[in-house]
Amino acid sequence: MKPGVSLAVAGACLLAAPACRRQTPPPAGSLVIAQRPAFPAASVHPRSALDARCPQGSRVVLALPPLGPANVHVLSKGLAAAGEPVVAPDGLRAVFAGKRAPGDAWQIWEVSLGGGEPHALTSMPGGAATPALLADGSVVFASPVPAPGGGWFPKNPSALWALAPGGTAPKRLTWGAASAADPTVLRDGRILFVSAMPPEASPRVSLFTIYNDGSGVSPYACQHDGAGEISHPRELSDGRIAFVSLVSGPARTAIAEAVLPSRPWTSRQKLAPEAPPVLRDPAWVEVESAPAGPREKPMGRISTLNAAKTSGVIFCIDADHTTMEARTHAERIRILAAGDGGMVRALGEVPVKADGSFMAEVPSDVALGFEALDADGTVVRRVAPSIWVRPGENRGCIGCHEPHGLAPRNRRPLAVKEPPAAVGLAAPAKAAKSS
Amino acid sequence: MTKTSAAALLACAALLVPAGSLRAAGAAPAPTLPFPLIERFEHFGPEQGLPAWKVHCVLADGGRVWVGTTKGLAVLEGKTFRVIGTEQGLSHSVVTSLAIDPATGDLWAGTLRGLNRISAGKVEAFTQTNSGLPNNVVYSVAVGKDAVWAATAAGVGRRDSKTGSWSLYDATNTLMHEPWAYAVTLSPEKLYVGVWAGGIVEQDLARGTWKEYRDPDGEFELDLAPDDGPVSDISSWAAWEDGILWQATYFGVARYDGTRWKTYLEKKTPLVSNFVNFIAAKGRVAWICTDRGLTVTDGASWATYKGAEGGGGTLEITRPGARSEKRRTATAMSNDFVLGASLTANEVWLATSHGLTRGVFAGTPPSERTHTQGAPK
Amino acid sequence: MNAKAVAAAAAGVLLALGARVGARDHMLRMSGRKDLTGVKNCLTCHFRPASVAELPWSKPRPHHPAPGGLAVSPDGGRLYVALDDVDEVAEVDTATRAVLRKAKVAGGPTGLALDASGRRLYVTCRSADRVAALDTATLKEVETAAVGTAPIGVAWIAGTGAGRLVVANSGSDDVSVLSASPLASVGLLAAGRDPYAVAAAPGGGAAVVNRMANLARGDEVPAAEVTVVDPAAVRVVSREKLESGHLSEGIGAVPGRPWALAPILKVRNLVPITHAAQGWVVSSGVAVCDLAKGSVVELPLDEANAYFADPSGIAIEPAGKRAFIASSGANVVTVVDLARLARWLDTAGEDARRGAIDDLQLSAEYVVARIPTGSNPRQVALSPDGRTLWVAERLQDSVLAVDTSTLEPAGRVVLGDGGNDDPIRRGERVFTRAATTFQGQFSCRSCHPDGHVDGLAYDFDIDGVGRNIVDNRNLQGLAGTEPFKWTGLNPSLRVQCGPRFAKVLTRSDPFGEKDLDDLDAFIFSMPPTRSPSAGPWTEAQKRGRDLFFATKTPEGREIPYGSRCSTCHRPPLYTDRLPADVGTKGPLDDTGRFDTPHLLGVASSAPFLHDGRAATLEEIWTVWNPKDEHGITSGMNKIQLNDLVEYLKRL
Repeated sequence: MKPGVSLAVAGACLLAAPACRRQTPPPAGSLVIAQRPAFPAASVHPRSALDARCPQGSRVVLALPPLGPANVHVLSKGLAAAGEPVVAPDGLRAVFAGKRAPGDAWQIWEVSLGGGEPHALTSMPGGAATPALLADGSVVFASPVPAPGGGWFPKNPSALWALAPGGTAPKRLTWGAASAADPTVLRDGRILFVSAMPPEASPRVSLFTIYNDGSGVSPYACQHDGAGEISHPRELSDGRIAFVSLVSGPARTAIAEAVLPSRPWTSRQKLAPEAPPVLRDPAWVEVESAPAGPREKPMGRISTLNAAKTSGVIFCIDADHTTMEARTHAERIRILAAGDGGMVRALGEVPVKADGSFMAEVPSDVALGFEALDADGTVVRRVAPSIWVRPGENRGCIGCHEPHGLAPRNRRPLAVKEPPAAVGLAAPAKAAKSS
Repeated sequence: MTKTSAAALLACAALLVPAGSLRAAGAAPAPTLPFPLIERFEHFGPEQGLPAWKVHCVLADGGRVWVGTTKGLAVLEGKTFRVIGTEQGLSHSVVTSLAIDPATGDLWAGTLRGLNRISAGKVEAFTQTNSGLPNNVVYSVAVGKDAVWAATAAGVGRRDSKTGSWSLYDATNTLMHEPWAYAVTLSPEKLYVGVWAGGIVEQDLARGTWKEYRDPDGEFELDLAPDDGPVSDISSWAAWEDGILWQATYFGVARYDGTRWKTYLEKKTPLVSNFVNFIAAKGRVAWICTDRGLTVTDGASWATYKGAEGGGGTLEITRPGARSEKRRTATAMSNDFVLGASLTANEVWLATSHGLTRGVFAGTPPSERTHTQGAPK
Repeated sequence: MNAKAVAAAAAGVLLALGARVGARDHMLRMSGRKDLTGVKNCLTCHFRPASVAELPWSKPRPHHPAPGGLAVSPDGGRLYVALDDVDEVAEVDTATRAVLRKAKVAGGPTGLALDASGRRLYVTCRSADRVAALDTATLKEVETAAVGTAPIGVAWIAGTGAGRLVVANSGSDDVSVLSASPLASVGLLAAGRDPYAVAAAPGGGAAVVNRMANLARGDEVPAAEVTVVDPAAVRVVSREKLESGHLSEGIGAVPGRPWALAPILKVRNLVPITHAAQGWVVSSGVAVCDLAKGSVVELPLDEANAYFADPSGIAIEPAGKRAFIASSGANVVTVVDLARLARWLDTAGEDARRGAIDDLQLSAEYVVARIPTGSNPRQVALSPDGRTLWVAERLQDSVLAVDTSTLEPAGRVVLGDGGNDDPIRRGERVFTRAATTFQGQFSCRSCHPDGHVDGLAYDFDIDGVGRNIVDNRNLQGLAGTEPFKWTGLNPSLRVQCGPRFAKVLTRSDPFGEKDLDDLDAFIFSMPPTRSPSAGPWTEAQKRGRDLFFATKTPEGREIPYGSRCSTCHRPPLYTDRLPADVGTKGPLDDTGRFDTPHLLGVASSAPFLHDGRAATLEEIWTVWNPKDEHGITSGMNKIQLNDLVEYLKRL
């Protein structure tokens, strides 16, 4: 991946960022910049994609105005490598990925922009990378750090985790069969991340969102309008979602692209021009930069999950509402779950009502798939395990693989007039209680 | 009900000459009749788009004809019937009565389960459970200047057109002998209620006071003392127009001019049957719908239309002081059991127990003589 | 501890227990209830306002020159602004944007319309149920005429004599037709629900948009309507259906096309609210009513990840090229290119047109700009040459001028100071602001226009998908009626509108403390909904009052204390603020005990009962009280029931 491309995304963030509204340390105009050495000391075989992106010697610095190579403070002091910085909305601290020794796993580190040593927030097995900050200060990150060439459906896929402020036990947010990577927090409070849809042999890498508790996983963009790898999504201040796209082919060219939030599935285009380096220091390559000053805090959200539960409810307004070619009316829905070693197991079946709706209570925190069965029990449509429900989540869907960007029709689904059918639960589902 | 415009009345009067001209050549011209004669009949049934054979009521309104059947309301607009049934929000399929609000053009339709307002295609149902309507069985509806009146099986309901508030009138708060009201009709000053077994009850609209007209002889089936009041207490319909109140009963007809009553029985007058379902009043003429045909009269001149064995029909005309004149007609009503009538300048629409009939008046301009849908039988 | 102390302690305990038992007995006796568990707080019943005069909504409040209706003179030189809260109409010099004169117009001047000459300005007076005519030369009121209840929109229609006025009577669900001069009513036509705005339609007609959807039962899809009127004939020509349309506060005819455009809020009340994304709760749109074809296509104004809540006023360029729609919850005016919109309509198939409103990526086809405005833009008006757009920024007491060639602000008419020191005004801003909802999808006003109801029932998923469907409740006249929520679980407005509200509905950060304070002030300042009945008491109302307070049935049987209307619906607010089971628990309800609603203005707030199952007051008893659990009504005859309803209309 070309560092300049990532810089273009970050630079666009910088150019489009709102002006600082208050004078707090660091002073207005300051930047937090991830740098990699222009002339690495030695070539080390990367153990992860992050090693390739932030090789040994990479660092995170605070650049103060007037911007220039001489006016930087290293934030990742004492670390062998660091990168992927994110500045807190209050402009007082930053989190980044770093490792103390070259052989260590990547973890998430926090540092005060006012000075001081960084300290590790995580100690995740397999490492942690690509931090992002939620409205309440929680750090979201991906773990484990994927190994190069591991694909999107490895045995131990990378997931997103959230670590509450002052907490020590991160909570897992994503439960898909594919890896989840590169989270960033949108202003509306959702976590935007990169993942892939089956088939596993030729996965379609695209952008997804979840809420801050991992519920509501939904496609965001790039599901049908391009090919190849994408990474590093960022929300620009004008609302566009920029990301790095690695175009397939022998050259594997990396380009910066963006989609409009107003129509994310129909607006993908190249982001131009590429932003020039900020510091113009020949010794360092700027990987990305971000304003160090305060910015608008993302929207918060109060979780509706119930940690005491091991199930969630999923209802679909019309299982026959689909973009898939087979439009045969579904009589029943077989619900699938991802098992160990890439196996898929059937949890059970739920009847489809005359209006196409169904509702089921299903196990939480496991990748779920769906098979639409006709009257003969033949599978007419299939969605491999890819979405999940969190404990106590109520998940509403418009259709099964329906067109993107739709709001639901105003109809009361017949299925919601009865309790949800228990599917794949260890014990019969109990009636929902009023909270 | 809609009122006949002056122009329409003039047009009717103009038809009298051609009506008289039907007489055999060489005969002395007969005195003109105070009503037009029907020259031919056209028929409408399910084949033409009516939802049912049985037609309870009909109302011609401008270019449209509203038809209340056992299977919903139909409206003839141009060449085709459009059906408004329970699927469109009508409260019941059996439509018993119709009235147009002259101020708004909205149609009010009484049914066996509630009253409906049809306004520019929107159906709004008023029932005894969702509104102040006294009872769901609505026999008759009339629209006044500021209220809609409904005669129901449990009293008369009045809905204030401005506030939507309901008032209920029955045996507990009026002189009404019993709450079973069969008909409501309005004059500018009075409300007349045809009460089953209760004669006619009148309300002075300004004062709110009530007055009762009962059959003095007390006999339902007999009119022992003619012209002494309502012909019977069993009112089946009432219609007011041009200062005249007509009472329909199953035992004859009565006419009240505000001062005197006059009664009409089939044995004593050319009235075709004592069993009267409905009266359409136009000017001072009553179009009397009975179980055995249609009689038209102003109380002096008479015309009766009936079907004839072997096809076609008969028209019997009786002029004051003259012998009856009976003619064969090539066409007849769909059925002699006539349940409703509505008049325009050139025609009368008749609701019968077996189809809708259009009676075309003699002298009707050729362009309007044949309805595009109706086929003579 | 000595014996005295022990005895004293024992006596204290006994006294406390006795007081508790006594209090419980007192509570059960006075409430007429045996099912109340535990002694409620004494404050539930005692130390309550003895009269409504003590409530916030009875007390004087600051009034603000909030701009309502706008009208621009035919020469473009004058802008007239209705200031309903201060009973004034302001005349503004459009060149200098200075207020030249103000006319006192009693009764809440709201909607404005000028005749073709610009000599007469017609003003609807919402709280006085009248239309006033002002001579623009003197800016004096020269004529007045009574219309229906709470008139809002008015349009002058040429063609009959000096023209006719068509007036939308929001409170009586009808449309008044008046001769413009002399000013006199010539007819009253039934409209939809809450008729609100009027526009001249092609061919001498008028199009009236109704703000609320007609009452829908159960799973019926609600629909608002555009009522098309022929003012010359005083007839309703047609009724165009706006499926799931709601909060339509503006309408405009498109020159050169047979269209009337009405902004709508597309409600999705039948879909369980499991989240807010994807327009799951509501979305904004514009209904294109083709008056020639009698067809309606609803198109979105929102985007896939951004919403422009509460579209209100609309203005259409004289050339018919662009429409300007004020999104009052988003503080934005959306600019719609009508040629592009027409092209899309021409090429779209029937399915695409039918599903257009649900396609959140579609608006890019025709929305060409979003113009930021001040707080709560409601009404908009264009200068006759189309060069200046005037936007009433209602909650900051100003009118924004926008240069329509650049779409940039060109100045402001300052009518007042914005009322920043008034917590009620600040609270109304919170109430109307959509920014605190996920992606700005809706505001409090979206479902509570004027703090009233939308007549819809919703399924919040917090207590189970498909369960406990609840009717929207009226916020007007709320002060003193706590607890809130149909279950009565929220002891205060702060709790009702606090984090729980954010968790269940807005799916975002909750309101801040300051906002909650202001919101309290605003909501409690709202008086009860206007009663549909005014003037001297009718005999029916008096009889109904006797029934309401009756202790014996009409047949003379004693009505148990707990079954009397006035026990639970206790004056002055007509609620005892306790939950009650009136036998309405449905198969989808977890409980049959629901909060006892107050009854002030109840007749204007249909539907009724906790899930809105009763479309009319009558149905509460004729359909939903088969076991006399909601008062002893089975023995009432229809006259008595009608009388009771007439009394309730009076409250």
